[in-house]
Amino acid sequence: MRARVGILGIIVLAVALVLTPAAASAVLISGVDYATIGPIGTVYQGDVMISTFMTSDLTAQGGPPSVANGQITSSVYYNGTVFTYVLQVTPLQAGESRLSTGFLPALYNNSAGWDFTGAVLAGAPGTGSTAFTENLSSTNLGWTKLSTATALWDGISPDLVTFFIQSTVAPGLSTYNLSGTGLPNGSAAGFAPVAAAVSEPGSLLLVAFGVVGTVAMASRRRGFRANRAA
Amino acid sequence: MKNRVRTVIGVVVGFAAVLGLMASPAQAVTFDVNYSTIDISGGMVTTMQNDLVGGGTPHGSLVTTVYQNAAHTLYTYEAKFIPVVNEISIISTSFVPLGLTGSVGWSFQDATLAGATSASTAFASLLGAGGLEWDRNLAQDFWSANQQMRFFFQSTLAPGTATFGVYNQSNASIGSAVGLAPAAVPEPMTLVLLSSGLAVAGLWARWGRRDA
Repeated sequence: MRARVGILGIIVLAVALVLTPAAASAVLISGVDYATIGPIGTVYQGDVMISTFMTSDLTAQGGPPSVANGQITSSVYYNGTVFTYVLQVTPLQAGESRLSTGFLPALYNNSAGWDFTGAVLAGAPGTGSTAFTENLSSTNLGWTKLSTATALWDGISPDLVTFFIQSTVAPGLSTYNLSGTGLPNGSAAGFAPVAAAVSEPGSLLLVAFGVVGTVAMASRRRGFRANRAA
Repeated sequence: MKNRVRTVIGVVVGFAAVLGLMASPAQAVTFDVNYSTIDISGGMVTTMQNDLVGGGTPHGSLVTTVYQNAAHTLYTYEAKFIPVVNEISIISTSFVPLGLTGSVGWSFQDATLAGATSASTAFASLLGAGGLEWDRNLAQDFWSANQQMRFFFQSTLAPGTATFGVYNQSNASIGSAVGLAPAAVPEPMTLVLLSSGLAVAGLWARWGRRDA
């Protein structure tokens, strides 16, 4: 009987481990062209937000106060299956070189990237496919500007570049970061795939089966002991 | 009239001489250099420690220390980052170092200790539009929380005592801190030359008046 309970416990633990999302190690992923991702649906529940990247206030250390180093418009689109988070980023000065998320997104089919054509208009060389390097670490997603692309994000209009993230996770609020030289790094709020995970019906059913099974085993065990005692 | 022309010429010559002396000549800089190859045997000049702050939460600490070479002709600015978050992806300065010369790089030893598989390519250093930047090699998975990483650049100028620079780190969160930076303080010899130029200009003007 004890062996059965032990095996049941192991099975429940194994199921729980399988259901828990694994942390990703740092990997470079291919940037996807925004123009190729197909229908993204319509704006989800009016989720459009314009924010300003603000640098840290360093006056307590004898440094500069908080200032704006860029702008971001985050919009969420939904096509019935996938949420597309569209991030329109405009640095306010030359020297910015990296956009990163303040969260680890659960990507849908590793689909994240930028608008290649828009990057070319902002000064990227070639087709815009190498304008940024996309990196998914254990903590976040980031886009680092090609160091030789000096005309990209040079502080001369137009510098707007559209980035995107696709996920099945519904929108919540988190932060985005704009880093580089010239000004301290800045962060801004925006819509992000960070809504509290809702357990799927299948997962709930499995948990329910596990609980019922455990109770049944315990009940049978008590009955067996009572019979033996009698 | 002739004297006025002489006076003007004198002033212009004096200013040109001063401007020529104050201008920092463009000097070649070597990037991606191993910190252990740098001569800092002239001793420590000064040091400063601050918290890396951003978004109201702590992100680690920054210690900037300035050393001199044996000949006392070159200052090496060391920026030691100890983040409390994982996988910093970019380090930068918010200023273009005045008098930048010599080498720019990082500690290959620190990179190896932090898990880099190739310390010499762990970062790529460059001079951006608004300062220096060290981009982590994103193909290498290294640099966890509480592991130190030393970056450096060199300058002909001593650190300022009243003005400082901002250093930054970025990953899922941002962190910035104030640290030591080269300051454009006129050297004693420059001041002597400036005085000489002004004196010559004044004498020139006086000679002109006497001739008249």
